[in-house]
Amino acid sequence: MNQLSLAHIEKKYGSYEASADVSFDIPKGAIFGLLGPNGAGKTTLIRMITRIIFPDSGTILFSGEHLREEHTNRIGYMPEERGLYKTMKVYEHLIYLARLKNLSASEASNRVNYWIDRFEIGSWKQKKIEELSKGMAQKVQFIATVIHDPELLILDEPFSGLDPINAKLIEDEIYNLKQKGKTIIFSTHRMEQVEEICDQIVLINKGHKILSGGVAELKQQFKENRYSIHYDGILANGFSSQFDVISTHNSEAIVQARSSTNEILKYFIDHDITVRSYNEILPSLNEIFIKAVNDTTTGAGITQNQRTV
Amino acid sequence: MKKVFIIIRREYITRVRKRAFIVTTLLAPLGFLGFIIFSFLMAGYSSSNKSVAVIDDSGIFASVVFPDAPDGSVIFHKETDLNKLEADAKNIKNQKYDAIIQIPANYELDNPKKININCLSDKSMGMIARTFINKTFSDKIRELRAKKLNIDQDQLDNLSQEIDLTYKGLSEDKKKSADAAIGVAFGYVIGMAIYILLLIYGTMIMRGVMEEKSNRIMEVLVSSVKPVQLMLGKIIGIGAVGLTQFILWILLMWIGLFMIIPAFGISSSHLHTMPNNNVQGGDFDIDKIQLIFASLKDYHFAPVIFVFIIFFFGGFLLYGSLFAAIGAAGGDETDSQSLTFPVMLPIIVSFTLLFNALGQPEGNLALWASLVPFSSPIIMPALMPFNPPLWQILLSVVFLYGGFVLCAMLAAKIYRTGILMYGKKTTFREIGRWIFARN
Repeated sequence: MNQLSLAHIEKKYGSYEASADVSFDIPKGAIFGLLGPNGAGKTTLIRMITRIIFPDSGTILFSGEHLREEHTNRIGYMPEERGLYKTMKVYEHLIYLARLKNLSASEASNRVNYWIDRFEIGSWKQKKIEELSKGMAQKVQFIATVIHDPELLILDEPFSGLDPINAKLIEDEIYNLKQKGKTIIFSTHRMEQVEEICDQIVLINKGHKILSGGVAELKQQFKENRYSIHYDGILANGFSSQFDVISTHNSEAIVQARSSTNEILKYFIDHDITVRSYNEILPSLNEIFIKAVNDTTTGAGITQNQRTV
Repeated sequence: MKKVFIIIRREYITRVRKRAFIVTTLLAPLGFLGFIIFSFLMAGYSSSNKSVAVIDDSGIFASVVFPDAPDGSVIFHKETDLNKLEADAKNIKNQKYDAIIQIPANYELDNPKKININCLSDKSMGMIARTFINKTFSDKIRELRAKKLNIDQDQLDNLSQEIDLTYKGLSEDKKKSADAAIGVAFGYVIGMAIYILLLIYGTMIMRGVMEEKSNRIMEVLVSSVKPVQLMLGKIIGIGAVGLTQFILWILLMWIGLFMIIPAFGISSSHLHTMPNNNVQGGDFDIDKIQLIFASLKDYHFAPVIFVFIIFFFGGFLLYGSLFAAIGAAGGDETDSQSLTFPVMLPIIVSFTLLFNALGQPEGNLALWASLVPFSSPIIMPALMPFNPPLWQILLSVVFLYGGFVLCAMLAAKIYRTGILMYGKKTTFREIGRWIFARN
């Protein structure tokens, strides 16, 4: 079952294509990375999912139904550019935002108190937002995003401005929500976070989807058959036809396989070089990201032509 | 709809609770009252006592006693030697008198305008002093001439009585019409109040939207509520704040006018010394003021205040939606300032129309200005003291609220796009494109 299905989403601002035939599915319970360089059209997509703006064409399904106004009460969105009313007090501000998500007054008060206890911020309850540090305000913002217990959470750069301890707190909360079966869309530039947290990603560039799939599969897909070998002994030049040595440094060799990995190991054994460790080097998402973006940028003309055919 | 109420509530409560609101609400009427009391008190200690020497070379006024002004602002002294006075006058410090009135030797009582009486002074004689001196001399000359014609004082008083026509309505529903002067004054106060409230609270809406935009809370809010709900909530919420303040002002001033002022021992007869209360621009007598004061007390305020509230709110919704659109379109203060002008202009123009409309409350200008939605919030309530026909009021209400719906639809389009637009200078062309955009 998909929490969200986007099919052939198009959105233009004048002649600028913010979203061009974008389709992808987000399964229920997944942590889904929405990635792309600056200005790729991520925010446009998110705003269409949250019904702030509307696509020119294409369909968005929410839990199998056409996205409607009521669904927005089941979505929690924490935008990248986020703020709060500076002169309001923490407690009343959270109540206000909860009420705007259609919670009753008593329900809102229960939930706000629950989260305030959970994040141990009871002492700030009556503090004005302007008295809070940036990290504190972020926590309040996070509570506001999850206060109505949404099925779908959209977090745009949720860790920016957080110290490691608070970042960990939010990260744990994200896993916790996943445990409860919530779907999370996670938008960021920080690839190491994506690698750590996300199950699946979609990569957007210039309004086009250029890549999508599971993080593990993508790594397999983009791997270049490289291995890192730690060894004792001397690795002579001009050896095997089975592999190329890309670099050696402090008894570690990075090699590019031409055939099976066993052939590489065999060479080391035959030459009496002790292998201490042998690892496949998978590309980081960062590398995949850069490679994919560069490929589409140079090949953009071709995809355009293919589209019109 | 429920969400709009939640937004209205927040906008209202956070503003009403602010210290600034409480302070201005309490202090403005106090300040107004203080001003009135201050003027009363100051009137007793008129600082500009002018000593005026009268030199009668003609001898016509030999037996005449010139009365001093009742507030002591002008005091007459009879002198004989002009040369001495003129010699003194050369030395400014030695000037004994503020002014010297010289009646020429060849002055003709029978032809008082043939030769002028001169008033010599190095100091500026205020309007009040001049008016008093002119009146005194006119009166005295008239008395002297009357005496010459063997008319005694009683007969003269009888002759020179001024009369006031009593203006009354012909039909039953016009009977309650206030005196024109009271109507103009009252209408002017109403129009002025709406004008000021529109400007103050209109810009408050604009700043509120700009704050939300620069705070980036807009992004958080629009995922929960529709922009148009946000806009309406803000306009209505702030409008309610304005109305609250206005009603409190009315109440406080009411209490002030009819309780505190009499308690201070200031009776309405003191009013004649109050400056700048020339409703008709003419001279006033105490009776007339007392009459106005009394008729204000008896005046039917309820319908006027009711209409005032309807039009203030309607006008506020109309202009508020435009101010909200501008707040959303403009990124910062300087940006908005250039965008504000087209919205301020109709308010200011309506205010200038107010004078003409009140001068001819049943004229065409007043009629049209009271119907056009942009000027009706200021003009229509101001015309209320003249009992305009009911159809005019109702039509005006319909137009105003209809105009609001149209403006709000237009504004919502600008608002929706504007609130999420950052870092770009907004031009009118750009705004036009937003209005005609499909989504």
